[in-house]
Amino acid sequence: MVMEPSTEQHLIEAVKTGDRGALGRLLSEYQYRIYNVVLRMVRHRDDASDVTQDVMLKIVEHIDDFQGRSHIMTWMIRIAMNLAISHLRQGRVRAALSLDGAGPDQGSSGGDAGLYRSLASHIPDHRELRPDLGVEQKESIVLLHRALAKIDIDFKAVLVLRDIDQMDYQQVAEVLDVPVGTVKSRLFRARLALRQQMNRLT
Amino acid sequence: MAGRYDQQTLLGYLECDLSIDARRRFEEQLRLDGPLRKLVNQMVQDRQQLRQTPQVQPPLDLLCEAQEQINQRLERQLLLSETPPGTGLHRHQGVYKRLWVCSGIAAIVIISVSAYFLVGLNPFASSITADDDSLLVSRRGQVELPVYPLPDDPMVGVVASRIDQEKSKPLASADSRGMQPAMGEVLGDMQLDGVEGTASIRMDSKVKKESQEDVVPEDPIGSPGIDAEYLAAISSLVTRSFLELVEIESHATSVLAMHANPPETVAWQLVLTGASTKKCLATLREFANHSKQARLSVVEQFSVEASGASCRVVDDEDEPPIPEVSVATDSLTVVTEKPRPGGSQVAGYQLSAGNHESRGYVLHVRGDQIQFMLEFLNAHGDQSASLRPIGHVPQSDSVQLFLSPANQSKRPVDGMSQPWYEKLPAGNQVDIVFDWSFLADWQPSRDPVWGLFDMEVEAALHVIINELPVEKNRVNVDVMVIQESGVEGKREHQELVVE
Repeated sequence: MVMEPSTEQHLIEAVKTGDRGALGRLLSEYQYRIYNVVLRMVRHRDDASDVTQDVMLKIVEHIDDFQGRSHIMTWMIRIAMNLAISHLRQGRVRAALSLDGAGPDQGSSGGDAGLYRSLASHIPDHRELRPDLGVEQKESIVLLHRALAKIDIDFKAVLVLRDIDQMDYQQVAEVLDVPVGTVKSRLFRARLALRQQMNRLT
Repeated sequence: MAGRYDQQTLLGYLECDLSIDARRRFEEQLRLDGPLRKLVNQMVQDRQQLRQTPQVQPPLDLLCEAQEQINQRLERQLLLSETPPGTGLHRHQGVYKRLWVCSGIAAIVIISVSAYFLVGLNPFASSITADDDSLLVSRRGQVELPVYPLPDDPMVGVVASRIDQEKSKPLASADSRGMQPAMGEVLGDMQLDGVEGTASIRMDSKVKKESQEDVVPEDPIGSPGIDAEYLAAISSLVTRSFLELVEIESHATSVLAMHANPPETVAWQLVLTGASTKKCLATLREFANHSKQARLSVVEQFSVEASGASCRVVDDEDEPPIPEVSVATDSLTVVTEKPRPGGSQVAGYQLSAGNHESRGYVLHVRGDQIQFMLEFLNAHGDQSASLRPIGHVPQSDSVQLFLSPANQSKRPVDGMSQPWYEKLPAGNQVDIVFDWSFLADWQPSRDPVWGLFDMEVEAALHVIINELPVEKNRVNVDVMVIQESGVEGKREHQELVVE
């Protein structure tokens, strides 16, 4: 969902004059995308909600600092990515509720915990994937996301932005605050790392 | 292995931004180099699959909380007398605003004092005033101002009632395109542009209670056999739908309580609460204005028997919709118009009971627009509305899940606004009936489903167990699929225990 530039500019101007409705609308326009970027980084829905909440708070607090040098969406995603990375680095991942069973709880077995894991492991993947995909495709995608979770955070970030959020190189560079050349180099290494993880998992 | 190759070229090929010549050369290289070909194919596949990652709907309460933060921030600024950003303009606006307010107050005082002296001096003032009332009404377009009694508990609900300016020509009879401005006018007059004698807001504490009666299910339905292939085709779809609904409902701290009496409807009741009615109506007006498939119409005055149910049918989108009767005047009835094989569309039924006499609003929304409408409401930060299916269509694909908490405790769950379980019968069993017709993109899958089906149902149940008043987290579950013909399928029993 992309807003008309004029509408967006109008909203930003309104926000800067203290219009709370405009700020709310701005957030509502972009929360979907922000949430999805965060979700693909942190993987767990509750974590994603928490981080997205923090992102929105940051946006509210710092909207006055937005200079308009980049697109507002890029600015917001940058905040989202920074917080998601920070979240991951601080290890605040809900390991016990890891959605794909790849977390630290994987080793335990049996009992209610096992059932819970078994249930939880089916919540995001099968529900989210398109019904027209075959079983093998679904499994492959689930595996891919498991591999994505295991690679370096910086690699993961560039893949999420480039492939899942489908940004161009320049936007990725702005979000990650690195040169475009670095984005390309990192992207290539990220793809290799992902493939290596996939080979290990299969 | 990749170190042996030019990274730029490899990446360029993967990202599809090589020149034609460079691409041709690289493909020639791929043809000769098996390991490289395999690696590249795998990476291309990885990339494609990542790009197929589905988008997930964020929780409904996300934006609501953000809105609260915005409000807190601005209030803090106000309290601390901080100058908000865009300072000069804002400050000047504040000064002008105060000047306008002061001027207005002064004008009102002057007019009041003048009127007092005029009335005091004129011996015929009282009769003239009475005549003026009727004159005023006629000038406003035959507006009648209803008088409602004040309720005992004014905080429970708001009943919004609008007086149609042209009673002989109800808006419900306008054509669907012409409905948009009319609808905007209606709500604009009623809720948004001030009251000014054209609308009345009544507080009513009874409506919610009566509405909740509808969610009490009656007898569970039997379970004849079902065609396995049919089941395979729909069950995956069904469970997805169910999960989606659970997600929506659980985040809205609402409940999955459906009507099971009789199962012949496909109506969705949009329940608004209290003071948020105005806000939600405004949001819906905007929604209807932007959606060609939605129209909001005003319901004429109606009367419903205490035990009665009412129904309305819309045969065609171009035909004037027959007004939906809503007893709960603080609720909007959202009616899905479900496409059927014959091409006609059937609106749902509003099942309700009560003895109110009032007006209501009906938002007619096509089935596939329901999801969009929910998203729209969510996107506009309106958390006051919860959408409840109150039935399903006969001759359609539906599933009923029978949940019966093993523990009979009815302790309210934190955050649950609707203690629907208190209305459950002794068996503590509720039918959950849902319809996925509004999810237009979902197509039946031919996966071998029973294993997946069970698992997804369990997963879904795990989610909603949080909403159930159970202490031991033990839930008896019966799952049943209803066939297209209306025949119900095999009823599977499971017991679910979750920590």
